[in-house]
Amino acid sequence: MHDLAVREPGHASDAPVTHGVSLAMEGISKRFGGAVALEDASVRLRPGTVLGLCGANGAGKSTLVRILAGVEQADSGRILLDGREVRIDSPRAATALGLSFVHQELNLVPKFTGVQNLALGHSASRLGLVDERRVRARAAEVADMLGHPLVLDVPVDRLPVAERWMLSLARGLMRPAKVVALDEPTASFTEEEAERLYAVIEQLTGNGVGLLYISHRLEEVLRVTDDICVLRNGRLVGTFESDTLDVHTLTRHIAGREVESIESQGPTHPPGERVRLAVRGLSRAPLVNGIDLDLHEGEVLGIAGLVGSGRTELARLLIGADAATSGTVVLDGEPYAVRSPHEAIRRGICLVPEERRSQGLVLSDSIEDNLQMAELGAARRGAALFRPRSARRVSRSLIKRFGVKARSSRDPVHSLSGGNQQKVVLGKYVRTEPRVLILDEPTVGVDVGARADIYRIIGDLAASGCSVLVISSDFDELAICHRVVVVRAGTVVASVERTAATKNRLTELCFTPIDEQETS
Amino acid sequence: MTATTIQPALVQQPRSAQLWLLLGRYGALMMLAALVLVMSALKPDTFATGNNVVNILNQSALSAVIAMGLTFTLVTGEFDLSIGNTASLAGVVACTVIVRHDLSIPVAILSGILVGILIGLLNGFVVTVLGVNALVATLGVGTLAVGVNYAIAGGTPVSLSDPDGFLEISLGRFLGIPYPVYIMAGLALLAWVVLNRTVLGRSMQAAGGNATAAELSGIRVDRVRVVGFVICGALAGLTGVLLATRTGSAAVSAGDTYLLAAFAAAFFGSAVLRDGQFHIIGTVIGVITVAVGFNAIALLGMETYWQYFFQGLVLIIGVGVGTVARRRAAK
Repeated sequence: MHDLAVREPGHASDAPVTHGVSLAMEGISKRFGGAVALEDASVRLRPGTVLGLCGANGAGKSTLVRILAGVEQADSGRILLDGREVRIDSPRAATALGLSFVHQELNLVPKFTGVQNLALGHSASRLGLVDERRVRARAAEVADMLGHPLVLDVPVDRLPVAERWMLSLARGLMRPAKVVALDEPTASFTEEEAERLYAVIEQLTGNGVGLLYISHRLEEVLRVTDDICVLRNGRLVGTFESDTLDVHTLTRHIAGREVESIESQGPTHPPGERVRLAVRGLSRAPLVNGIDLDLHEGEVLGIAGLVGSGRTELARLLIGADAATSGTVVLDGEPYAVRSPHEAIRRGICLVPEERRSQGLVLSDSIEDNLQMAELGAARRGAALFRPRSARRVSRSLIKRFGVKARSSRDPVHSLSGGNQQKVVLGKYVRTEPRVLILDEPTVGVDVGARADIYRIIGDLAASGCSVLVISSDFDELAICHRVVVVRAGTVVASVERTAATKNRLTELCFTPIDEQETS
Repeated sequence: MTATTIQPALVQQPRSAQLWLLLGRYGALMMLAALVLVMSALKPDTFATGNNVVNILNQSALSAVIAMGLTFTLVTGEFDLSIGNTASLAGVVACTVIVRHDLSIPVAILSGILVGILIGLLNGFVVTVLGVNALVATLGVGTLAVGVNYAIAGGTPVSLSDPDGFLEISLGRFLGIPYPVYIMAGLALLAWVVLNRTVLGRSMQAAGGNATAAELSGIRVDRVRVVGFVICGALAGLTGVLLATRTGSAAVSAGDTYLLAAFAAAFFGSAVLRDGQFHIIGTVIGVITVAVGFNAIALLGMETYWQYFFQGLVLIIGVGVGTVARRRAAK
């Protein structure tokens, strides 16, 4: 293991790469109110290489990036570009220095086309008028640099997420960029799209651009990066050469303890005999086309599928957020046809939605207010009295049971890390004691430790008789399920027992055209 | 399972951040306190008297009732520009019911409130079922209300021939305090309970905080919003009727000025004690702050146009200080 963090400043200039710049952040400390976000953290990006930033949620990765982007100012420490100290006191200053950032929430204007988006903030304007020809010319250069064609003439809200992401990256490169930070780039990419991204990354580094790569997908980080900085609780654990690490070691560095592998977190109880939820021919054109599935009592059933396969739409049909055009559902032997999430929750079916910040939480409200929300939703009468004391008691016991790390149940939920926020969303629904709990991408952006907690919670729920549907793009994660069904083009194309549900097998089933595979 | 991440070390918050936090929450209240202190010093004989306090509260009552109603729609994440027109129409309807149909005062009051409820339902229908933006919807519905108003009254004030019983509602006193003050206090208590201690009220707050999350939590967001519009309309209707009881007659546009006053009070109130959320206590304090200011302007013998300066400044400073302070405190 090689600890780059203790190298002396300026050392990187001896590196063999002749073009590109080095970036160093030294002794960075930052406090928010009472909490320490970063304490004397130092990272160094060698020219033309990829540096991974790893750490649990709340470890300080985002803060470090925000300081680099000029969104936050460090309390102490300095930033060096090519050995020269620079001051980054605003996002403008960061851009002027050739630093570019692609965040999870893409800052594109949805109704604008690709080229209109690229023109925003680009210098190719005269007297306030956009010179589209010059924007297109520059876009072509950028596309060359990325080795990836850009879709310029379609409103971006009609593009797949991966293409939108590429446009967002391209927008950052419209001005010459020396360092690009990528935050959770592949969170909603298919495997194939991720491969394309890896190719783009190679192109970029070949052009001398340095990359900061932030992701919870450790295999991916190991594959893409040259060096990896691990942060824990705002402190640098160390900087390692990626070749010297494997997932297990890296996980240990991040968590600071041994984390059980997912396989060992599989279900402990066999599912019950009774069918809890029987779905037959459920359809809503164009994305859901005749889904059949049986979910047993106490079963954890995985749903594997690519983005756009109809898996999220299936979940929305089951909770009445959308109306099915045909098909039947039977819940515990009774017909189940709900027209709203309110009815679904009253019947005992809830969905932990994909986007916790926009769909799961009222960010400005307290943890306990958020935990109380689904119970309000399940209430029959609005005039019913709300008892804050007993509600708070229940909230506190949930916070404890789920291991939510918070100072007080009255803290605003936005002050929590992603993993803890996810536990709050989960807790909100578990509190209504559902018969069927549907989880859509339960651990996106959730750190390793909190992820283990969430798997444990799912296991406990199943053991107590609740049936769980887990929708996930992360096929490794589906090892926590008893059984996995593969959804493709809106129908179930395969049902695989846990032992057979390897990542390769599931990926294969997701991509193979229906007529070539055996349907079970 | 709690050892995955260590709790970040807690250190004392910087002093400046604490001060800004205090200023953000209590700045608006301090403004009111300063106003009261200065006036008490300047005019101890006329301002700081029991009579004048009752007077100020009495003058706050109608604005408070309509502003509390507005607070409900604001809490659900919508707003209502029709309240002024609703109040005007309700006053005209209440007086017309007595003058032309010779019905009793309670029926007149109820008919005014009913007008508000119907307008609220219409607002709710247009906003939730048709999906029209609240700005356009309530402006349109408010304009319809003006049309109905003119159709009924023909543009002239509707006056009662024997207004004594009607006037008693505004002028009557119990234990030396006018009835409208009791109405304001009673409704404030009721509104607070509904918003904070019932499933409906909490659902309204959740719907206003994040409609998607609320919907997926099973809250019937559309229904909750319609109820918000109905409460808002009902209280606007009541305000219109109470306004008519002051003079025993209803002018066709008597209630219109309450629109801006109510918005100013509710927004000022969102900066009181909370971080920019609408709430009943804040709204009431907003109304009272404006009333104290108007009272002060009158007692100091200043021209009435100062009232506009004062109301505008209260809104800008009250909300502005809160916003700036919160931003500073977050740093």
